[in-house]
Amino acid sequence: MSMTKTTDQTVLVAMSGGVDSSTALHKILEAGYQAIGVTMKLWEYRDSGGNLVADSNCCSISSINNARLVCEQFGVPHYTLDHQPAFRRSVVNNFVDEYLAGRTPNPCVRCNTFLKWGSLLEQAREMGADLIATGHYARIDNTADTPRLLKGRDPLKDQSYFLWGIDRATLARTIFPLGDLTKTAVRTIAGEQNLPNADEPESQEICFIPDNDYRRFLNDYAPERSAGSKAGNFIDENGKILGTHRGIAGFTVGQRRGLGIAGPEPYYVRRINPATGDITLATRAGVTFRSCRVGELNLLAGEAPHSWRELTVQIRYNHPGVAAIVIPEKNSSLRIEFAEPQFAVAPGQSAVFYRGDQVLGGGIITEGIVDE
Amino acid sequence: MLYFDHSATTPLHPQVAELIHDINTSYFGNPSSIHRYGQKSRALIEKARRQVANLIGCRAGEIIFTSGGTEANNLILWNQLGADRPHVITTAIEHPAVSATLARLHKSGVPITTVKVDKQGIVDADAVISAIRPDTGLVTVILASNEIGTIQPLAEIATRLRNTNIRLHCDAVQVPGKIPLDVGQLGVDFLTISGHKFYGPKGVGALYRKQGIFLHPLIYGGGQEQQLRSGTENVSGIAGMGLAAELARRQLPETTRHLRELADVFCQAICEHLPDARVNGDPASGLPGLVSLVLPQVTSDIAVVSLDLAGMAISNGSACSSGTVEPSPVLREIGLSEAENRRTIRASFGVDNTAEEVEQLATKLVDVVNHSK
Repeated sequence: MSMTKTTDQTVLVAMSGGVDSSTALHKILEAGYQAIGVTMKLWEYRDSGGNLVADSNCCSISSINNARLVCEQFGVPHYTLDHQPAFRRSVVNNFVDEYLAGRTPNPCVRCNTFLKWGSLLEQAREMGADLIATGHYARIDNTADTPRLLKGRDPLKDQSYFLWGIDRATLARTIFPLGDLTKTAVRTIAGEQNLPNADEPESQEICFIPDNDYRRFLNDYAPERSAGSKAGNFIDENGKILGTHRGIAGFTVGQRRGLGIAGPEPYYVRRINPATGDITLATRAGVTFRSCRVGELNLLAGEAPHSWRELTVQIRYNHPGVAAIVIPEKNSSLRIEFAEPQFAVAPGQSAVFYRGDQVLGGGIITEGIVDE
Repeated sequence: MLYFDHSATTPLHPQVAELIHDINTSYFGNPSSIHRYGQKSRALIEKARRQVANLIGCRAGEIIFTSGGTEANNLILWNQLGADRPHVITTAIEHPAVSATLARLHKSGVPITTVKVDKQGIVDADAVISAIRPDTGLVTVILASNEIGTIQPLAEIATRLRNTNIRLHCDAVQVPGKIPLDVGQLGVDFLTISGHKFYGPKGVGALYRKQGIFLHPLIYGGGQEQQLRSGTENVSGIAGMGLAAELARRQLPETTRHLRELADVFCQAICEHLPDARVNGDPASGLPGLVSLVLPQVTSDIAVVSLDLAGMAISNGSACSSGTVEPSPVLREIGLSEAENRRTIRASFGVDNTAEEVEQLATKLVDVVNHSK
């Protein structure tokens, strides 16, 4: 992060109430900025179920109060701002639409694009804050002419994958105070600062599905549409019917569990056909893809894809990345040729393009291609 | 910091703060004890009971101290569960202490009729009376809206209920110390007030129950407060509420005049500089010192935050416990669109505010609106 001491600049720090954003606030103050803490109220758990007992997730009263406690500890004002309508519109409804269409969405990507670097950034301006900061593990390099988004220094925590969709112009107004730190270092700092959440457990699930049960969520949130989800057959690669299923919603390419189909080797979902309801199963070797198509591009580095060299692409969060070449196609779509065939390239997931640590851009996978 | 959110809560009157401190450090006896430690505490409570009774024009024995307005409302409303005539008539602009409790009771089978209000936020007494059924046992109406300040025709409803066996409850939490409050003139059977709305402490409220009406308690135990509110009394809080009641009563005419003047100053300044802003309700006939305003352009959460950062505290109509500003059901009921709802702020002035402070607020608010353009 930029450590220029500019005490007249005000930073809006997005506070979930967790250890990362709390430590981010500390780093912002340490760097000499003025700060305002904001918790975005995105979701009400009674709307989705799944968290009626547990109360430790983001957007719960206890996490909002945690954020408030941390801000009070640092003498910083804290506000909770209601973003529920935009979250529902831009993130949750899209999540439902995508799953019901047989794709596998990344709601965190859309939340960053439309909420944090969308409506929140606009509110920051209205509140007189020049910059926003979050607890993401990513970095911004301000040494070049225009800011470059880089991976976080901690390879286990790097979250740049979720940030490919943000408007390039907003990088200049963004600080990632944790980008140079490891999670372990963050916990140490949080402990030194006596932050109340220094030892909180890691949360990995999607924030509005705290029990991680997507099927349950779809049934609770969109019962009629889930009930109408296209039922059909499990088939093998030759079209032979292996069994039936009650709806494509909730199946993901690469999924093994919950299929209920026995074979000599475990079956995985290879393809979901939303038109016919057919779900093609294959052995693990049959669910690898040589290439894929990517749409809805965002060119975060400003360079045109045909000039991308020494490229690696990450096709899901925690994917190690694979060397690839891109072939621009019509309709602003890209065809990605992997150096090695990749397991479970799932339509709906983000493909994020890197050169070294730099995020060049990203897009949404529209189809995985086995071979031609 | 300047404070303009007195409908949310008020600062302690310095004399009240001093009394509470003295009691907490000197008198710790249990009011139920026989010895003189207990006698002193008992005397403090009974003095407070008289002071509160004087504020609302009832007898001391008709006052039951509770943990606040919410508990007093709950105590009345839960009595409808299993009552011979369980049906409750209420209005669409009640505070959640009433509306959420009734929603819960409805789940347990208590029949509820919610009567609409007009664009000013006033309920029609005829509509209330028309809602009466053979099984109606209770009518509950807020006296002055906490969000828009409009005052309901309680006395008229009471007159129309005379000669029925239907009880009338009134949530008057916003009212004490702002306009005259007399249970006899209102003609109510039950009335709720809360200490912290008139420069008394939080965590203490009172229910007026007309003599001779039987109620079941909500909280059982040692039988304090005429069996209606068990638990060792909050002695310093009750005494503090008593003194606050006495001070509010003595200063009432002056306070009413002062609060009306502050609201006038504010409304005139807004009218002049933000002609597109619109006042909800009718501040001239409503609760003195409360102004609910639909802002042009800027949403209320941004306005509240920007003013706070500038050192001025106001609120929107109804902040929920998370502190989030969400659309208010009350504002929806008076016909505001979703967008207008999200642009509504509330300023509520107090005895310590001055006209200069209120002018500063108006100036800053105009800045905030213009900045957002």
